[in-house]
Amino acid sequence: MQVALIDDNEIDIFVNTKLLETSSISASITSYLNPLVGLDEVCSNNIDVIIVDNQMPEITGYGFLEKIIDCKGDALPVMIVLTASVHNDLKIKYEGLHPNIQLWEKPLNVEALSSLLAEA
Amino acid sequence: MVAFRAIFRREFNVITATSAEEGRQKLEDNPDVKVIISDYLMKGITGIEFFESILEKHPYMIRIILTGFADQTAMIDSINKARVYRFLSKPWNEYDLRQTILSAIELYDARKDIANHQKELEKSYDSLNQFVHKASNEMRSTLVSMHGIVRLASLENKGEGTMDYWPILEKGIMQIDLQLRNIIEHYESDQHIGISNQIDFTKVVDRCRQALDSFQDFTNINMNVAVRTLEPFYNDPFRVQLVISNLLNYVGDQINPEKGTISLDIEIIDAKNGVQIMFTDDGVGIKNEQLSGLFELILSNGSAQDISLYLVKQAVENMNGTIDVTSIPGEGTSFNIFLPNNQSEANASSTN
Repeated sequence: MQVALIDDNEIDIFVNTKLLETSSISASITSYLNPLVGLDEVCSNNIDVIIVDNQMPEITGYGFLEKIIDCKGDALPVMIVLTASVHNDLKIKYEGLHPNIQLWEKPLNVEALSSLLAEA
Repeated sequence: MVAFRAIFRREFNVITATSAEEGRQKLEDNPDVKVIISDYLMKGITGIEFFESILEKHPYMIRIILTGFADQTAMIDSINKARVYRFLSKPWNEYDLRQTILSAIELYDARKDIANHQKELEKSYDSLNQFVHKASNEMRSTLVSMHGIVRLASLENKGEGTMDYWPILEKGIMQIDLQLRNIIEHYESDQHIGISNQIDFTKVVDRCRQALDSFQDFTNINMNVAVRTLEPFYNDPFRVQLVISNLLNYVGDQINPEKGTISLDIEIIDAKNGVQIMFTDDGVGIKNEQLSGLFELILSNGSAQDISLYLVKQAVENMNGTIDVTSIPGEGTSFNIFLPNNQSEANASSTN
C-alpha cells in the first residue's frame, strides 16, 4: 500500500510516519513538506492513501482535495485531512463529501485508519 | 445675534444662522461646533424641534435654549427630547451666558474624551481577543503534535516503569487542549453572527460525542439520547453544538467515584415555539450554595469556575433561550434548556 504524507510541520511528518510504521497497516510511506510538490507526485503516481494537513501556507487541505479530484477523477484514493482546528464550519464542509474523504482531528488515529481501510 | 457676536467674537469662534435650515447647513459645514444656542420660538419650528432634528448627527454638541417665556412643561420636554443642557432667559445676561458657554465647552470636551477613550478601549479589546484566539489556535496546533509524540512513545516504548508516565502525560496534554478549545470557542461564540438553519439533533449529539472522544472516556458514561421532536427546528447550529458539547464535557466530570459510572439521559422534545433540551444525570450532584454561581466564570469570592457552563449559558442566551438547573447532591443534576424555533426567520431570509 502506497501512503503519501503531506504536512508542512516536520514533527507531524515524523509522528505520523512512526505511527504508521508501528501500526498493523503495511505501507510504503513517502512524505512531503511542500504540499505543491506532494500534489504533483500524487497526481503522477498510484497512491492508495493520502494523509494531508488542513492548514498549510501554500494550500489548505480542502484546496488540495479539489486538485486531487481534478487529477484523479473517479479513481480517488482514501484521503484523510488532519486538522488541529475545532471550527464547526470546517467539519460541516467535509461531511458527506465522499466516503473516501475524511476530516479527522490530529493526532492521526491509526486504529481508525486501519478500520477505514478494511472497509474500503 | 449681532450683539452676541459683537460681545463674544474675541473669545469664541461664533457662527450664526437665521433659520433652522441654515443652522443645519452651518453645522454640516462646521462639525466641530461644541456649543449651540437656539431661540425657543422660531418661524415654523421650535428650538426643541430643531435640536431633536440634529441630535443624531451631532450627539456630543451641547445644546442651550434661549427663551422669553418660562414654561415648565416645555423645559422638561426640552431636556427629555432634545437633551438640552441649559435654559436661559431672555434678555440674556452677558456674565451668565459666558459662564454657561464655558461650562458647556468643558462638558463637550469631557464627553468627547470619554467617547474617544471608549473607542480606543474597544479597539484594544478587539485586538486582545484576536490575539488570544490566534495564540490559542497556534498553541493548540503544537500541542496536538506533542500529543502525537506521546501516543507514539507509548506504543514504542515498552521499557519497564516508563509505561505509567505516558497516560498521565497524555491526560495533561488533553486537559491543556480542552482549555485551549474553550478559549477558542469562547472567542468564536462571541464573534459569531447567528444564522438559523434546520437542526438535526441526533447528528449534533453524535458529532459532539465524536469530537469529545479524544478528551473523555465515554465508556463510563451510559448515555441515552431520545430526540422526540416532530416539528422542524431552526436555530444557530454552531451555538446548539457548543451547548451540547460543553454539557457533555461537564457531565464527564460529574461521575460519582463510588459508582465509577454515570447515566446520562438526553431528551429533546417539542415545546411551545421551540424545543426543550433536558440533560439528566445521576452523578455527584451540585451543592445548593454552588448552584447560584454555576454559570459564572469568576465567583464573587474571586475563585475561577469551569468555563464549560459559562459557555453554555452564553450560547443559550445568544440564541434567546433559557437554561435552569436543579440538583440533589449525591443523586444527580438536571439541566433544562429552552431554545426558540427561528423557523420564520430562516424562511424569511431564504426568500430574500
